[in-house]
Amino acid sequence: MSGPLDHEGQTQVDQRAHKGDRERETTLDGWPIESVESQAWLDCCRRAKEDQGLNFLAHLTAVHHIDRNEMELVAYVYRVESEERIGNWRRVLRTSISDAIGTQIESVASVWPTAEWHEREVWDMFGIQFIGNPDLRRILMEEDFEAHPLRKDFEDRKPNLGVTRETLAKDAGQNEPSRQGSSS
Amino acid sequence: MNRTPTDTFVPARETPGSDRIDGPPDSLAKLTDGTKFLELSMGPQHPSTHGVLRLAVRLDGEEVVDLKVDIGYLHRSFEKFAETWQFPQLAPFVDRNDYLAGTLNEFAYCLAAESLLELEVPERAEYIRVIMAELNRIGSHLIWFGTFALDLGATTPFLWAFEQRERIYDLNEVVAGGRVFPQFFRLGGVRNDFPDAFFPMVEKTLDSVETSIEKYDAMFSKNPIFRGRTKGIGVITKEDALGLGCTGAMLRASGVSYDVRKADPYSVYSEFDFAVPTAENGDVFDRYRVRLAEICESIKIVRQALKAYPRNGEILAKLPRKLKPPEGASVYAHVESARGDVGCFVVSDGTDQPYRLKWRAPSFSHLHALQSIAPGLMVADLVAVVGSIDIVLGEAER
Repeated sequence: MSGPLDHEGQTQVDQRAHKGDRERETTLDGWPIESVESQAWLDCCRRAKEDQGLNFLAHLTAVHHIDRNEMELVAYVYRVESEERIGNWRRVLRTSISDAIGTQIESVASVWPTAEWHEREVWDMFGIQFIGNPDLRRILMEEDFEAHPLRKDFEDRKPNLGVTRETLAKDAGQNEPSRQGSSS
Repeated sequence: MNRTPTDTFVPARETPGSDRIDGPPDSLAKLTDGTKFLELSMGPQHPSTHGVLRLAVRLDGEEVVDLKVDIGYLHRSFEKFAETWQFPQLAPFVDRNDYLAGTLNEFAYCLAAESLLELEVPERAEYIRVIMAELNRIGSHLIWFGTFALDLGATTPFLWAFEQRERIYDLNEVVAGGRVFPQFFRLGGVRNDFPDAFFPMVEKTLDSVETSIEKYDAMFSKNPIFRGRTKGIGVITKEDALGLGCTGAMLRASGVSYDVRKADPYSVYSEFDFAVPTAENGDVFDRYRVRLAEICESIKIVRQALKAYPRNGEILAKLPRKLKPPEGASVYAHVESARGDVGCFVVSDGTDQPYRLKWRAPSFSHLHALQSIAPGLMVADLVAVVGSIDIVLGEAER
């Protein structure tokens, strides 16, 4: 549990003042928010399921706040029991970690098995690794894709082909005269 | 006899050598009786996979020992695109996520965007939305019925189902212009009112679908061949279904009465009297029963909505000229789609474009659940199970 999770806890505390939804107790549409430190993520999820009976994970995803250099993990959980809503039946669980590619956090697949694929998607799209996920491979992008496309610093190009904005501009410059020649 | 493999199954990649995360594909494990497992790729191009899906199966003779689902062939970066489009522009785009239930997808998106932008939808528009959404659900279930029967080797029901589905599409065309993708919902309401021609057509369609459901039921439910192929096959228990994030008919067939329209009522669903069909065994047959019953419930809702539908009033709320959602706010709206619980999570940064949009797709979780259901099945039964799940890959891969 310790070891890989020693990412910049201090900077997070300093920036807490800016955290949009973090300052509120519920989201705009009324879901109660529970924010925890990243070290407590697995515990928080386990408590939500075992003590509060929130037995259904709707989705687990990440939001990349590039201005704060942090990755926010968001999980929407609720209780699926019967047709009626009972008391405290839904919650948003949040935690923040560094946005560096390869940052690690504990997997919650042991709490809700469905988290396995949601975490694979977060790894694929944001580059966050989940310790304890039984099958952490890319899920939507091809296996030899090198970037994590939903990050805000993702550049829309193929990094593994060596194509950059500069080479594209150069190619375009070279091709321009011949294209004009062929069309006229 | 020890038939369990000693190693964990990691499917061989389609393009060997390009594998950066898994390490090299593992070799075929040897069994104690000297035979070997057969590793086989079902798909990506296979008639039973309902799209472009690859099932990497490890077989012991005819029996599935292990299965890994490989998706991503239809990934078209919807969530990334969404970050560059304005809120009203996205409403027609979400149709394409689940291409069999476009209207229901629009419903989820519009609910999320409306709660973020704090728009009030006029009551009349809510009724129009519910009618169109339920017709869409009937259409989607009819397609499911046809293709499911086709998976089991019955060709004719496919044509029956498409005949009825065509009527639903005609209704879409009369109301919205589009057939498959009506693009009918707008933020704050719907695009236009029902034309006069719609009302007699919808009555006829509902009657026709109702009669044909009776026909399907008579042909299938007591048919010994069909029962033999589906009873006790592909069972998922209540606990597993919940843990694996199953919703919709998958969950209800396992005995959990969960329907977003009842559990977290949105729009005007709380006004209608309808049941949530459930079954006990969680097998292929029960999923079939639940879906057929759901078509009948949807017909009931449409009939009630047509009666209660207010003939006068606004159908579209005024959209402010400048969209200013609260900065840093997030919303999550979910609806009961034809396949299950479809959710839309939007984070705003105060501009007229989403900062982040996440689409919760039931098919995504159902494909994950397939990995747990499959071991122990025969290959032919695997096809039936995939058919009974009712996957739409456009939705799973977004």
